[in-house]
Amino acid sequence: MTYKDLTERKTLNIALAGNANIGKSVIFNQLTGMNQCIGNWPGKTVAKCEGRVTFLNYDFNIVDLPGIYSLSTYSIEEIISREFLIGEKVDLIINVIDGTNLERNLFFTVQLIGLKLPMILAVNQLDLVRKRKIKINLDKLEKIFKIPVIPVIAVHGRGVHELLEKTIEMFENKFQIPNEDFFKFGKEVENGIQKLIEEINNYTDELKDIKYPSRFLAIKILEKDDELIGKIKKLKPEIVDIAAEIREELEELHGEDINTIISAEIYNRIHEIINQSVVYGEKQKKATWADKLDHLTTHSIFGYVLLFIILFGAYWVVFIVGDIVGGWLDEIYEFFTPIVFNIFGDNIGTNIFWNGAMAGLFGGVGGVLVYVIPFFIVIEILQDSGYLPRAAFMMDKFMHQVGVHGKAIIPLILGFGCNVPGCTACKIMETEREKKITAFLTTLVPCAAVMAVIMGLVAKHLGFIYVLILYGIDFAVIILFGKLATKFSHEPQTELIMEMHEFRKPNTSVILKQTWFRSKEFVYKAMPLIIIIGMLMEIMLMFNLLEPINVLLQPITVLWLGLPVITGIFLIYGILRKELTLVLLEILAVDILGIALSEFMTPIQMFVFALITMLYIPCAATIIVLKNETGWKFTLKVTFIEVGFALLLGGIVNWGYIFITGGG
Amino acid sequence: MITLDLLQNNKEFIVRRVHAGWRAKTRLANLGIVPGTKVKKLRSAPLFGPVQVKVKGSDLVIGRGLARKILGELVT
Ligand SMILES: Nc1nc2c(ncn2[C@@H]2O[C@H](COP(=O)(O)OP(=O)(O)O)[C@@H](O)[C@H]2O)c(=O)[nH]1
Ligand SMILES: [Mg+2]
Repeated sequence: MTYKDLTERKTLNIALAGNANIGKSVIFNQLTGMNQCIGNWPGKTVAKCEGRVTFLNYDFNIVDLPGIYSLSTYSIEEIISREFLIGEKVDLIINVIDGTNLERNLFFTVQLIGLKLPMILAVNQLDLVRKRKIKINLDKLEKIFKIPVIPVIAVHGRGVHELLEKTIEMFENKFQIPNEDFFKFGKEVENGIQKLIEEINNYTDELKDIKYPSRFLAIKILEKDDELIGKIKKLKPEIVDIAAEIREELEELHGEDINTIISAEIYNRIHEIINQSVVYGEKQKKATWADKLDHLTTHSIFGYVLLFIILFGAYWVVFIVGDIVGGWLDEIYEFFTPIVFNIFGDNIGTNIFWNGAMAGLFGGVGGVLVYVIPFFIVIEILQDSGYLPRAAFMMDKFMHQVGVHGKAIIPLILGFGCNVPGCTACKIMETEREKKITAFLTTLVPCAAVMAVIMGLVAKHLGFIYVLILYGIDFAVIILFGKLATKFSHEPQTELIMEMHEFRKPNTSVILKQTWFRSKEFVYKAMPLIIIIGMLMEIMLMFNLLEPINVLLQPITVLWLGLPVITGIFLIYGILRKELTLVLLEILAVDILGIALSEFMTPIQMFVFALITMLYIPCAATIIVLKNETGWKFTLKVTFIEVGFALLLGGIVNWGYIFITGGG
Repeated sequence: MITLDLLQNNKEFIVRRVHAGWRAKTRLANLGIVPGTKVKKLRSAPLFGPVQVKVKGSDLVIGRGLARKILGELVT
């Protein structure tokens, strides 16, 4: 590795790395003042969170990496992280570790040190360490690893800025590189690694594109790291062959596979280090509230009762709050309608503005935001408290029925709020196969916008029982597609392996900030669209431009689905945002035609319309994230399957109804 | 020797062998589940769901099928 000239630069690039759920994001937010990356489920920080801060005349670029346990290729997050770290852009790693859980955390530290980048060890959660009467000798750790160790209590902001001070100090002293003197493998393994390093060093020219330090590379090749072996094979296949020989020898000698040997030796060394530097106090016997809650949420009966109550309770709260606040908004709109028309007169401009733009705005706020905001709050509470991994634990068995393991329940639950964060969360699934199936199923989950349509149309006009029927259909569809996807995928199913953390009191400010952040994004992206489309609708209606499109769609909408001809265009708008289907329906019937929705559509038409809206396509935003996560090909496949299936099912319901009632 | 899924709640065993495939085995090894490690079973999910164990100071959840492939000796 070559050294970058650091003397002139005043910008320092820092990466925060460490296991999941140990406080990286809290530190990140403390430093950069952004609040986008706090969470509590395994591997939460999936997106690359990047922030800037200026401190003591230096500009810092800080990246919050996903929580991982190793630098192998087990999950996509691990690959992303190690590629990012070894790329040109990192001057220093801040390895955040959980002081209450040093053994597991230091395993990753050992791997990071192997990257030979300047590094600081941030020992976090020292408040809990003290509470549990653990004594950590930080000086000793510093001496052993030969890297600076900083005590941190992230939630109180303690030690956080010392991290930057230390970075500057290290920078001004030309950045020391950590060395690996503190740890050598046993004689046989070490000899094998040395042999491989020599081999690698013989071909520095051929391997110049591989940025990893040779020792790190040697260990990885020995470990059968599929990604690096693939690369080396193209450049210098001999190295791979030699590695295979060494590996075989070692495995024979130890009677174990190489990864077990290597991991065991690292863990043994860590055990020694901990014996030298940590003293554990007596364990408290008293069960805390967190223990009790943990017990209850994983209980074989109450656990499921609670899961049920939480999910439906969430829905109920969201519905009640949304309904009340939505009602107020409707009243406000109706109160002002005559006033506006009195002042501005009944002309084209007023119509476009009030019946188009403002109706869209009120419809968008009233119909959607009032449901979305409470839902985000509930989801954030579940996430921040640490409940979601419990749901994964309890639902693992069931999720296997649809071809994925328990963690998939997390994107699915998030999908109820909005499919977009749901799909993004699919990154926590370790393999492509799991990720794709989970993402597919997540797009079938009825999100808050769909819920708004179902509530506003079906609950209001047909009764709650039909809401349950619709949801029942949706769950059946999810199970059906899950089973089909499992059948058609050839790769084997992965088993659940996940870390489970203690319950925590959710942090109010974190929850409010997260909710604000998500809602803001929703408003910025959706509102302009809704307003513009509302106006467009009004204009197109005035000039009769909707006719041709509706005529084209007529065979499907009218003949097959039995819907009013105008709904074709609504379904097309609904692709942009699903709640638009209802918003536009209300604008047309109530505001433009001046009749009640129940006069405009028959009950069966409402039911079919809601069913189609629920299933027919993921909205535009979801399509975009789905594409980012899984690629265009898969996204198009999912889209076609869902459109086709929704139309099929809608027609069957329509014709089934006609058949049963004799055309009534 | 017994498998992890059959270990009683609150009992400990020392891992002797892991019979899983390469990927899962590597993952488990990275998390400290290697021969010689002490593992304490905390609970298992209902209906033969996954098991939760304490290992190297933190709690891990392991799918039932995988737990069946982890063998060890009871600590008495
Ligand atoms: N008691 C305590 N809790 C902390 C500390 N740092 C972080 N946490 C909590 O740990 C949880 C996970 O933090 P987060 O930053 O999302 O972890 P990440 O996955 O590493 O990014 C949050 O609920 C925090 O409130 C700390 O120093 N003390
Ligand atoms: Mg994070």
